[in-house]
Amino acid sequence: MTHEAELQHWHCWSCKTLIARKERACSACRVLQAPDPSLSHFDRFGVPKKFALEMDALTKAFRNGQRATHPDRFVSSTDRERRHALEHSTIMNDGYRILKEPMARAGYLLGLLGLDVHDDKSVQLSSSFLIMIMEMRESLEELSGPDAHVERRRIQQSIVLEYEEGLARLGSRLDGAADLASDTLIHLGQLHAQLKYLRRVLEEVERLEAEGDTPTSGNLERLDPLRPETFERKGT
Amino acid sequence: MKAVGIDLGTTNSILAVIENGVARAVEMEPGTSILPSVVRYLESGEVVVGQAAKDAAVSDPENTLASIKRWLGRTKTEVLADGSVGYQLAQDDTVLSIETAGGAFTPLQVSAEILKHLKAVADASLGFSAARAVITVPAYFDDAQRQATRQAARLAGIEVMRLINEPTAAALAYGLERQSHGSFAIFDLGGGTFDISILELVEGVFEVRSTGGDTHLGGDDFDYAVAQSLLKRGGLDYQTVSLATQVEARRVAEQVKRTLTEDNQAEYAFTVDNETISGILTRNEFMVLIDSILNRLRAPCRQALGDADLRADQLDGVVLVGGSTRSPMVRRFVADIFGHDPICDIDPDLVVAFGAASQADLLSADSELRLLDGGDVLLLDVTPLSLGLETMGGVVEKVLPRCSQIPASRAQEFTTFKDNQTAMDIHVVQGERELVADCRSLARFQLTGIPPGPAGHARIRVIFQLDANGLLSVSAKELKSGAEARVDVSPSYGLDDAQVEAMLQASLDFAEADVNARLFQTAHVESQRVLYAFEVAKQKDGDLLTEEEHSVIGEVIASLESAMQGSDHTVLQDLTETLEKVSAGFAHRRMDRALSDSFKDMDVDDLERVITDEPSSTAPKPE
Repeated sequence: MTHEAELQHWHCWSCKTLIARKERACSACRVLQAPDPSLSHFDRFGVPKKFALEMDALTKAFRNGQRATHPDRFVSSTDRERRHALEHSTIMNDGYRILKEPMARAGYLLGLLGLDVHDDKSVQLSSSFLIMIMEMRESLEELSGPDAHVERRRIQQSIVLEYEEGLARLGSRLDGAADLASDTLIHLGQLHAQLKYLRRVLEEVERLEAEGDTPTSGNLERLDPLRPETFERKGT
Repeated sequence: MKAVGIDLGTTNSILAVIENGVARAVEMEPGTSILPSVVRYLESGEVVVGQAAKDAAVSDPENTLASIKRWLGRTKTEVLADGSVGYQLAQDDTVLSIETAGGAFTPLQVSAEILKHLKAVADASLGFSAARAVITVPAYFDDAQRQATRQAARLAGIEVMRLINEPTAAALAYGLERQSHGSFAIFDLGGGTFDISILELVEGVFEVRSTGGDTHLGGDDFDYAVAQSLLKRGGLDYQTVSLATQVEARRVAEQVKRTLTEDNQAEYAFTVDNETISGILTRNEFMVLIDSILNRLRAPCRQALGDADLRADQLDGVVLVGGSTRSPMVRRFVADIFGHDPICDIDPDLVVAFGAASQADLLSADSELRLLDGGDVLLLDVTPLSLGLETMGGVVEKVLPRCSQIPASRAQEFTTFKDNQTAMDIHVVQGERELVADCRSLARFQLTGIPPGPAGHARIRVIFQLDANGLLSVSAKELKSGAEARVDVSPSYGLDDAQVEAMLQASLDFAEADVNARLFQTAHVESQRVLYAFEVAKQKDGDLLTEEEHSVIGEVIASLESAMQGSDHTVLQDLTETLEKVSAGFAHRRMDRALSDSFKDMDVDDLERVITDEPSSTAPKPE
């Protein structure tokens, strides 16, 4: 067996048969295996490693996977199988959450390409962009009077356009080339981070709309644009 | 072994079972399968449950406890903050218990009485013991309320196979009968609680998309509003009349409400202090009275739709659950918000218990439904409330947001705030608010052994894990030193496990041997844990043991191991504690050493590696 083939196989913990690591259950004794930690979420669900993902295929794969490994299916099995069921089910819930949401999916793809979008040091944004975001927020916050709603909607629409256009660009670049040069990768990471800021502003607009015209300063205070980690956690 | 489904409701409880592939509610009293969730404690020590207790509510209000589920899993402070309590509370600062002629009882014990009664009646009429059950809880129940429900069941001698959300159970009942596909809202207005959930049903998989509601809103509020109004018409103030009058007014109000379900007006007459209050309440007047209550239903509905990312017109139907949805006013209100005529084919009082019975059957080894359906029914549930940690300034950092699918695991990194900080308090909270003070505190633990260094230098990864039952465990690990701490969230509503164990022991319905066996089992597990932890520690840092410690600990371990072969739990507990005590010095020195890979639990570790969505997790694992 080649080295590569060896990496893709392991022994069933129960009957010791050599099986492919991506198999959920042993092909010989049908006992549930541990999920393979080296598998990407795309491979786990058997969908192409692309930004342009077919949601129906993903959802179907997710449901089939849960049907096969959910802890409820293993209530009367051995402790170890029950533990593996919990691991499979947990990891699939996590993978499904990431892959079904475009921004999380893009961030995950960037991660697979070697760029950690959660690392502030590897993704730095220009101060002009941050100032623009800050001004956008300020003008949204300062809106008042009878036309505030109309004006807010106008700003919202322009941000939505920019966000959607940026997301499409990011997606097509991610799917366009197999090997991205490292400076391109950083550029895409920056685009991803910018989109997160824009989305955050959009969420804020929606909140203001829902609350009517009485924005509290408390809401906006927490959105300090110089603290990207607050976006990170909300966003993905 | 067969299992049953139990709907432990605020006003009524029902026990159902699957027979020949069909759900059936067990008859509790001749002609009805509905057991009023009312418990009366007599001076003789006798406990009366159900209709007989409910009938005594007027003549003996102090000793007749109703709607107690509202207090299950709540602290005394929380209950007092809600306003009118209506019962005599025992003088105890921490634990909430109610004084009755038969003694003081906690809401947990009262709930256990109801469960015990359900079980006893079922045991007598079914061909098996209802010792294993799926119990339903409102989707909006938080961790403490769920834990309390579990413990009440334990106290009643029932093993809880699974707690499922009431709306999910309702969907399960409907879905199984119709094999529906599509998105549904489950609108559940019971006596004391309101739940709204959005579910997607596809190919036998029930996916909960979102859930919301209000644990303090229900049909009882209608009764209360009507009772207030009727007394006011008689020149009386609900707040100042006697408890018996309040109960009587609410009883009349409930009748008026029921009459208005069918008719346009209802007559009422009742006596207070030899004076008769009588008159007619019209449906329109009733609607005005309940209008503000109905309006409180609106926001949770909108929120649930928003969380599910759906508009009302994208729903395929709205399912009605709970006795209060019988009211035509409520039905009209539902049709108005969702733009759908609601579905109510199954009796709204029984539908939840039917769903619980279905789930109980599916979780059983000899499932009837699985054979019928080819085993394709699966429930994918979500967590109803966000879980997070307290960060600097009393602000909540959400780690697992509301509506995350469970089982779930999520990791987040934190760092130190001060220079040379070697310990960190981990405070786990639940709720949607931004401030810790507005959320529910679930657990606190401390991570120690952080290597001293400048503030912001340490990397502490906190992992939240929620299992398929929605029960939480939290672990924290300093990534550079490997120092680690964890907690399984235990109830924080005043009763700790020891107190519950004590109640268990006091419970006369248990054979003493049974209790001892359980206590021994618990102690046995704990002994194993401590022994194992010590072995691991010794293998790693055995050189830190003094010779004296070595011999003393050796002796304790020998006695402990022999006690583990025996049957006395107190001996086992004592020896386990002794072992911990005599090895404390050793543990302390190990901590001081701040070793990089102490206490490592490979399972947690493996899971952690695979669940984080960081790129490093996808790198092939070195063989």
